[in-house]
Amino acid sequence: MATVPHPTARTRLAVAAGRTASRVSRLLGRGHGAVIGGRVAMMLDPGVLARLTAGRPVTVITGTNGKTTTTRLVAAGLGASRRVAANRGANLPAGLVEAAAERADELVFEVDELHVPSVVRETRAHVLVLLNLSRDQLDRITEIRRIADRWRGLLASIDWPLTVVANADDPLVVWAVGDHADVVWVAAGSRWGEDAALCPQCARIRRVALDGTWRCECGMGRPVTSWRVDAVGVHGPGVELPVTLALPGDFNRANAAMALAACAARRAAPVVALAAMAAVTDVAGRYATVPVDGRQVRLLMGKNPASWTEIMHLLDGSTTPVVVCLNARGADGMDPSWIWDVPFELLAGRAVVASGDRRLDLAVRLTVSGVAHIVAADPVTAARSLPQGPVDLVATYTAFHDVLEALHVRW
Amino acid sequence: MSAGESVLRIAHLYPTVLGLYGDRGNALVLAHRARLRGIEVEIVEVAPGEAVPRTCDVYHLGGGEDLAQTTAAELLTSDGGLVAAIDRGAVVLAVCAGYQILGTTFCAAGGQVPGLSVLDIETTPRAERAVGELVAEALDPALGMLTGFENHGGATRLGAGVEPLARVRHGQGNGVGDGTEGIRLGRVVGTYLHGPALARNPALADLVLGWAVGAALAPIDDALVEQLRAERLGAVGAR
Repeated sequence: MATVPHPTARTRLAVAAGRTASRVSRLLGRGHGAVIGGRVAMMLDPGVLARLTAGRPVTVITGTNGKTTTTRLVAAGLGASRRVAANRGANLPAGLVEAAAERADELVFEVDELHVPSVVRETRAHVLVLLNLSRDQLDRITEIRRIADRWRGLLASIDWPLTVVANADDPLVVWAVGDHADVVWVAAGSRWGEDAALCPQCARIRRVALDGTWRCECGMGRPVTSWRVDAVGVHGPGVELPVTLALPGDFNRANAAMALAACAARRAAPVVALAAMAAVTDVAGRYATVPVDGRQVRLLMGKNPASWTEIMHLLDGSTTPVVVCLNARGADGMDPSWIWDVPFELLAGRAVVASGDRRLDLAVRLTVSGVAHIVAADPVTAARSLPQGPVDLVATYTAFHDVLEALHVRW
Repeated sequence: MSAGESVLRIAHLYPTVLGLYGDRGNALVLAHRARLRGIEVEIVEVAPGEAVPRTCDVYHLGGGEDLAQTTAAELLTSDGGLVAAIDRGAVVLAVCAGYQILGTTFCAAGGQVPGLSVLDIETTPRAERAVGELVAEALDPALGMLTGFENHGGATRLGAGVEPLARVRHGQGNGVGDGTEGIRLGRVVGTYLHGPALARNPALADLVLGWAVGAALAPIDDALVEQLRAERLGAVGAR
C-alpha cells in the first residue's frame, strides 16, 4: 500500500505549481522539466522537500562516479518488493521534488556531492550510500578534499538513525565516514587511486598491501568489510549470489554490490533485489545501443579521468570501432587536461574517431599514445563514417546529451 | 644526456601526488617528441617515498592539492636528490604546485611552507583563485605564444633580477599584478600552464628536450598541434 504524503496546503500548492512548470518545460522541449518544476515548488515552499519526504524512508546515493546507475539499481532492487520513486539524473535539491511528490513507499535520491549535507538533513535520510570521490570539474570544485570534509562534517552531526553504506576501498570515503557508528562497509574496489596516494587524515604516504589493505601510523586504515564483489559474485552477510548484469563493466558490478548492500539495509531480500537489478539494460541513455544506418552504436558516458579510465578498460580487448567525444562546456569542466590521465593507448589497433568541441585536444592526445585516428566534429557523423556493425561511442556529459538528442533517444 | 649515453631518462616525480591536472602528459609529450627524432627514452615514475634518482636527464613536477604539495615538499627536501640533480645541471620542468615548491616558500592550507629554495621566488595566497585559459608571450621569441589552462590559488613573486618565462596576454600567470608568467633560469622552467604545457607548446617542449639532449633537434611535423594552438589562442582572442 503506497503511502501518500500528508503535506500542508502550501506544500500542495507548491507541488501543483511545480508540476505545471514542468509540463510547460516539457512541452517546450526543454528536457524532463524536473528541475524547473522543483525550483518553482521550492520558491513557493522552501520546506517542500522536508515535508514531502516526512515519514517515508529515503536512501541518498552520492559519489563522483556511478550515482545515476546505482540509484537506478537501488530503485529496481527495492522496487521488486515495494513502491519506489527516484529522481532521474537531476541531482540538485530542486531535481528531487518531483520524485518526492510521487505516491511511493520509499524514495531513492541521487544527490550531487556538494548538496548531500542539506538533502540528508532535510529528508532525515535512512540510508546514505557513499560510492567514491575523485577529481572532477576541477575548475569548479578545486579541491576534492573539500567534499570529503563536508561529508565528514555531516556524519559527525547526525542525531537520528542513519545507515551509511560506504566503499571501503576509497580512502577519501573512509575519511569522510569518520567515527559514524552504523556503517556497512563494502569492498567495491577502486581502480583509480590517483587521488588517494596519501593518508587522508595525516597526509603521510599510504602503504598499501597486495590485498588492498592499509593502515597508517596515525591509526587510520582500511575498514573490515561485510560485503565484497569479485569475478564470482557478490558476498555479504548470509548472501552468496552470482552477478550477471545487463550493464557492462567491473565498475557496474561494484555499483551493483553497493546497491545490494543498500537494499539489504532497507530489508529487501537480496536474491529478489539482485534479480531486478540484473534486468536494468540502460540508465538515462547510458549503455543503450542505438541503430544508426546499419551501425549498432553503444552509448557510454564518461565525465572525468576515473570514469574514462574504467571505460578504456571496458573497451580493452575488443576491436569494435570507437568514437571518442570531448566537450569542455560548463557541466564537463572547462579544463580537459585530464585526458592525459586516461590510458587511451588501450584503443590502439582499431578504428578511432575523435570528435566534439575539443576534438583537437583528443587528436593530440591519441597521437602521442600512438593511436591512429581520424577527426570529425560531430559524434553522430563520426559514427556514420565507420563501417556498418557495432560501434562504441564515449562522450563527456554535454556531448552525451547532444548525442541522445541527435539520435532521438528518450531517457 | 651525457656523451656516450643512448637513453634519455625523464623522471616524473610523485605522479600520484603532483599530477592533479593531467601534467603527466608533459612526460609523455617529451618522450614522444624524442622518439620521433630516433632518441630512446625511459620515463622513470618516482612514487612518493621512493628515492629520487640523481642521474636522470629531465625532472618533471606537476600540480597538486595543498596537503599533497606540502608532503611532496617535505619528501623532496629530506631526499635531496632533486636539488643535487639541479646543482649538477639537470633540466627541470615544474608546473603549478611543483613550480611553487622550487621557491623559498609557498602557501598551503592556511600557512606558509618552506620550499626547496632552488629558485628565488615566493608564493603567497591570492585573494581569488586564478582559473581559466592562460596565454603568455615568451620572452624568448623562439618559444612564441604559450597557451594553457591555469588553476591556482597562489601569487608567485619573482626575486629582483629574475626573468619570467613570459608576459601574460590573457589570464593571471604568476598573479602578482606585474604581468609575468613562470620563470626560466638556467635549465629550469617553472610555469602555471596546464593543458598540459608541453602538449600545447611544442617549442617549449623542444627547448626542454634540446637542453637534455645537448644537440640540435631535427624538425618534426607539428601541423596538428598548430591547429590546436590556433583554436585555443582563437578561443580567447589571442591569435
